[in-house]
Amino acid sequence: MQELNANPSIAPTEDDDSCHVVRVPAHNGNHRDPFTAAEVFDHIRRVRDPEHETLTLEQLRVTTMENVTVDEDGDMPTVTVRYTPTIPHCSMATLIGLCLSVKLLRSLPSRFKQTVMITEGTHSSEHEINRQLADKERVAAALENPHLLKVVNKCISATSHDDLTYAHDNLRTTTS
Amino acid sequence: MPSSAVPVGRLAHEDRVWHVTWSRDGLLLATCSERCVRIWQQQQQGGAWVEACQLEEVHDRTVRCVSWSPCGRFLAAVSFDATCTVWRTIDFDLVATLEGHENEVKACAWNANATLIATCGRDKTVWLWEVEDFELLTVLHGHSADVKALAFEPETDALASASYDATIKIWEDDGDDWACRGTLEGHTSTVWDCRFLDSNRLASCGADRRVLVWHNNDGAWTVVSRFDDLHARPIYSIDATSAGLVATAGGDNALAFLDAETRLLLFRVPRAHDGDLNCVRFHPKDPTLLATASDDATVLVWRLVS
Repeated sequence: MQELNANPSIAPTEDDDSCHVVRVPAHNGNHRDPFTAAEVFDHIRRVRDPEHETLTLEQLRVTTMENVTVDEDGDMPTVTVRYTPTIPHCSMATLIGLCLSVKLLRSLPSRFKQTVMITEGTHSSEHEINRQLADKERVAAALENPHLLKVVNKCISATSHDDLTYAHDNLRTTTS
Repeated sequence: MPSSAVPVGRLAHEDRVWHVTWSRDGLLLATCSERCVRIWQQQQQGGAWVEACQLEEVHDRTVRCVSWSPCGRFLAAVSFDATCTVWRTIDFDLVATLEGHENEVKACAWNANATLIATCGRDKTVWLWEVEDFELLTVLHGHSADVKALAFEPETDALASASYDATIKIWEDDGDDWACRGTLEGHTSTVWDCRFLDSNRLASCGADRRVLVWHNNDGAWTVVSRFDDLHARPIYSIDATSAGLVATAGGDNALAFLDAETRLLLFRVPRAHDGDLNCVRFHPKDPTLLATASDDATVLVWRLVS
């Protein structure tokens, strides 16, 4: 059952300088620009692959900006991130989803409802993994496992911009 | 039947609150959040709720569910640390630690005369314990995935268990042994909670955002009402009064009220909390009061208005 992809293809990434996010100092007042997919993607693009620790999910094309959806129009702001395992039997697929979930939980304002799921048709256990990732109780329990938490923290370290303040992210509390 | 709900009490926590339970007389509330159980009381009739004590340093992982015994003497708490603790409510001393589950315990329930405690969890089993000596009575196997919630029927002691396997199972003691008397299939994903309305009716809710009301006709359980669009996210909790008023709490921050008799939606409270609602429980004596627990680190007490 265990299957790893020893030789994944690697996509070029944009330089950090060219990333699409506008960062400005926090300002007073209630004005808040809408969140963009680019901004959400910027939170997750540097998450590392648990299997290839030197590579980011962006380099592996596991995450792309096109697969991030933000909907702030309705009553309930939502962020949906679809990710694409490098091979359809990837044994790391659940762990990658967990890393993305944790990164989003720590980065997005709490008003957002988030969904992390596998891109349709790209994994043999897609339905099963999506159900696991959507089960907040299982996610909470998994993150109390010190070994698992260590792996997750390792994959999402060096992804944050704690030194910078997002213009409309005043609701954010600690991120790590 | 009520037409709106007004918050009348707020219990502030530091983290996500998973569950809330009323004491038998409705004068106290117990809540669980992270590794801690908190007991709350009202300063005076209609006054603010204040924390009376904390039961901590016993569970070293999340406490997922708390349940007050119908006799009022005990409080049970279950944790991801694989144990269930039982506390004597006169002084909140720990009187028993029930060990046996392989891993996370996710729910607990007492039968009506408080002779039995049921626990369930990730190991797919339901355990029944005798309160008299806190010994294991039996282990119920049948679900194919984690068991999320339990409910006893007050008159017959039938036990319902809700699971990630998308089914509810009904367990009964035939005088000789406990056995599965029915498997209710109607949800398409995790069943998060269920409650008996009476000995022949059960209400359930789940990740499929569906509320089902089931009727038992000589052991054959069939769906008699179905509500599909009450909540925009998973429905985590359901409770009901003896008059057939049903409350549901969802991951869309909303609270909804149904009339099980007329099968009508009464009203919704769209932004009841600033986060997922994890639990809703009616006051045991006053059906116009209820409490909700949320990811926004609060428990709210609501008064229903007609």
